[in-house]
Formats: sequence, structure tokens, C-alpha cells
Amino acid sequence: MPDGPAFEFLAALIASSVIAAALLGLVAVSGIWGKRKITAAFTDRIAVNRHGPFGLLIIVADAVRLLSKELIVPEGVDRPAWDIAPIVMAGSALLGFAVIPMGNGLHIADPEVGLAYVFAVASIASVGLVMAGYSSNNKYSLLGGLRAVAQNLAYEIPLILTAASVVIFAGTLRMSGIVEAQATTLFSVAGIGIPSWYAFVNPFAFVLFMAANLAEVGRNPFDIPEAPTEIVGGWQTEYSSVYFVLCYLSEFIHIFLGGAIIATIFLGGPAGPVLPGVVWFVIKMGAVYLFTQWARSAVPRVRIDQLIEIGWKGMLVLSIANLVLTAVIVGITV
Amino acid sequence: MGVAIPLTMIAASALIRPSVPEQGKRAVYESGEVPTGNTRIRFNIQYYMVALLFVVFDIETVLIFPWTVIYRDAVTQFGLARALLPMLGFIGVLVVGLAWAWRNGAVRWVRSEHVPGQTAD
Repeated sequence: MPDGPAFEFLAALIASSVIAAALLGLVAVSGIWGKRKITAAFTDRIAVNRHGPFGLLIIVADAVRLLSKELIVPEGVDRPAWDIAPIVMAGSALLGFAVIPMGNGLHIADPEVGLAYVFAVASIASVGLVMAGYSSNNKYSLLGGLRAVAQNLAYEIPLILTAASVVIFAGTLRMSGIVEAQATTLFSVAGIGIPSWYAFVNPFAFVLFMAANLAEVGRNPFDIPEAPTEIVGGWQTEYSSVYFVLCYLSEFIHIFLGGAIIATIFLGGPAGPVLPGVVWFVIKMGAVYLFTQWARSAVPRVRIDQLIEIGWKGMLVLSIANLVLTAVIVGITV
Repeated sequence: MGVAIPLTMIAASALIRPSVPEQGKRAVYESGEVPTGNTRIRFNIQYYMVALLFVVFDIETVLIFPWTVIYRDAVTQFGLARALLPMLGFIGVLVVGLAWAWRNGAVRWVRSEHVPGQTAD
């Protein structure tokens, strides 16, 4: 086997291509087909069922349809920013997956600061939202972009502080280290060992993280940056054709990135019986996705002033309490 | 890879999509009305104070992370008091700061004074 930096670079490129392709396939299935089926099930409809088995070919049809649409550039848009925004959003979400351990050796990079890196990269998308909102020269987009900022300001800190309470248990920011720390058995019930996943060790942090994550990816009850019944499409109102695909795609990749983070730091990553690790990882990620879609169908939207109240007066205080309590409990029991 | 994929999609789309420039097509969307004015205006950012607070707390999280990584080892090596109390003091200062901002009404949606009868947004 040849080695050297050129070979390593090539290997990394191939590996990341494989993972990106698998990921985009998953997002296409869930975003175009799964979302419509789930929403239809919630509202007692059938949704797509004409194209292929279960309407699965709608994925191909929709992709070709959207890519072959005319790209309409509205008057007065701020051109470089308007073009770059969708790339920034889609790219930042894809970059986050580089450090997620997906099981069976599917793990592109494992830096020592893995968890901090994921949050840093995922936050870049906020910049894309502001760029899209401000450069579109559209009132709805401007409102949507500003709302997106308010939301990210309010929920970023509870999200990260809750993750920090997990780091106290694991003692490392390395993603593989966090997964390994969850491999031991917590206690046994009737011969079946319950693994020490942090969702079981610290369920309060898990619930808090799930709620903050909903706000981070902009799904109900925290979907005010888009709020289709109030401000049309929010920051993505003026995007059409391939740019719209990128905006739409980046949202779904973000939901999956959120699911991947939750699966890794709270649900033991790719751990699970019988089935191979990758399958378990996808199941856990899918479960989080299902939860966001359920919330989207079942929970009403909050107002923006309520959102700031919940974020700063509720979740921030709770997350600080969670962090301090975790530190005290771990400190006493260690 | 994260940038290459979007760029490839844009290139692929550019090959197959039509371009039919037309009068009026490029107008910004305003629910079907003729658009009035643009968005390059002075806009009241009603969560300005919150954004300032965010900077403080964001730096705080950066400072907390190294502590969480070494916390377990520090407790076994130096005992609970020396590992925990300084950080409790640090977080305590921030909580006092948050309480002060809360009491002074910084952590809320600031309503415009010019528009009577306005609720939120």
C-alpha cells in the first residue's frame, strides 16, 4: 500500500465523497419523500404515491424539476452576498459531519476538539442566513434574517452549555472518546444491560438539548425565521431554482447534523445490539428527524418576544443550573 | 467537499435550466403588490441589548469548555473544592450579571415607542 501526503489526501477525498454521497441520498429520501409522507400521516392524507413504489421516484423527479427551473435574480439584490449565502449554508452543515463517528470506521477526522468544532461549523450557517436575508432586498427576507439571528442568539448558549455538561462526564471533546465513555453498562434490568448513554445518565440535559436543537435547526415551535403563514418564506423568499434547492437542502442537512450530534453525545453514537453500527447510527439520526417532523406538525409556533423570553429567562438559567449540578454530582461521586 | 458539492449543483443546473428574461419577472416578491421602496433602510433591531449579552455569554462558554475537559482529573488530583469552587465563582458572577440585566429590562423584546397600540413584532 503506498503512503505519503498525496495518497492520504486522495484517500481522504474519496472517503469524504462516499460519506457525502450517502448523506445527500439520505437527506433526499427524508427531505423530499419522508417529510411529505410524515406530514401527510399527521394530517390524515396519503401524499405522494404515483411515481414508483410508495412514490419513491418523486425524489428523482423533484430533483430534476428543481434543478431545471429558471434562476430568477430579483432587482436590487446584493449580488456576491446573495450568491454566496446558499453555498455557505449548505457547506457549513456538510462540514460538521467530518468529525461525526458513524460506526464501522466511517469517521473522516477525529480531532481533539471535535465537539467544539461541530458547534463552531454549524454556527457558520447563521452568517449565511443573515447574508441571504439582508441581500435579497425583500422585506420578508429582511425580517426572516433578523429573526434567525435573534433565535440563534437565544439558543446557541443553552445548547453549548448543555453539551459542556456531557463533556464533564466524558472528560474529552474528542467525538470517539465521548462515544467510548458511553460504552459501559449503567445497570442491569432482568439481565438486559442498560448502557450508560448520557440520555440515561443525565435525562434532564437530554431534554434541554433536544429543545435547544429544535430552535437551532429552526423547526416548530421555533420556526419563526421562516414562518410561512407570517412572512412568506422568511430569508429564502427570493431564492429560486438551484439556490432554493441549496437552501432547502441545507436546512435538512442541519436537522440531520443536529440528529447526529444528539446520537453521538447522548445516545451512544453507533452502539447497539445485533445490527452493525452504521445502521444503528442512521436509526438514531432518523429518530431525531422524526421527532422534529412530529414537532413541526403538532406544536404551534411561538412569537418572537416569547422566544427571547424562553431562551434567555428559561433555558439559559436551566442550562447553567444543569451544568453546575452536573459538576457537583460528578465531583462528589468521582 | 462542503463547498464543492453546492458548486457542482449550481454548475449542473446552469447547463439545463432555461433563461427567459421578461419585464416584471425580476420584481421582488411582495405578495403580488407592486413593491414599494427597498430594504436599505434604518431598521429597529429590537434585540440589540440581547445581542450584546450574547457576546459576553459566548466567551463564557469558550472559557468553560477547557474546565469541563479536565474537571474529573482535577477532582481526583486536587480535591473537590479546588476544582469546583473557582468555576462556581466565575459562573456566579455571570449569573449576577444576568440577573442585573434581567431586572433592568435588557433581556426582552424592546417595543418601539413611536407606534401606539403596537404589541410585538
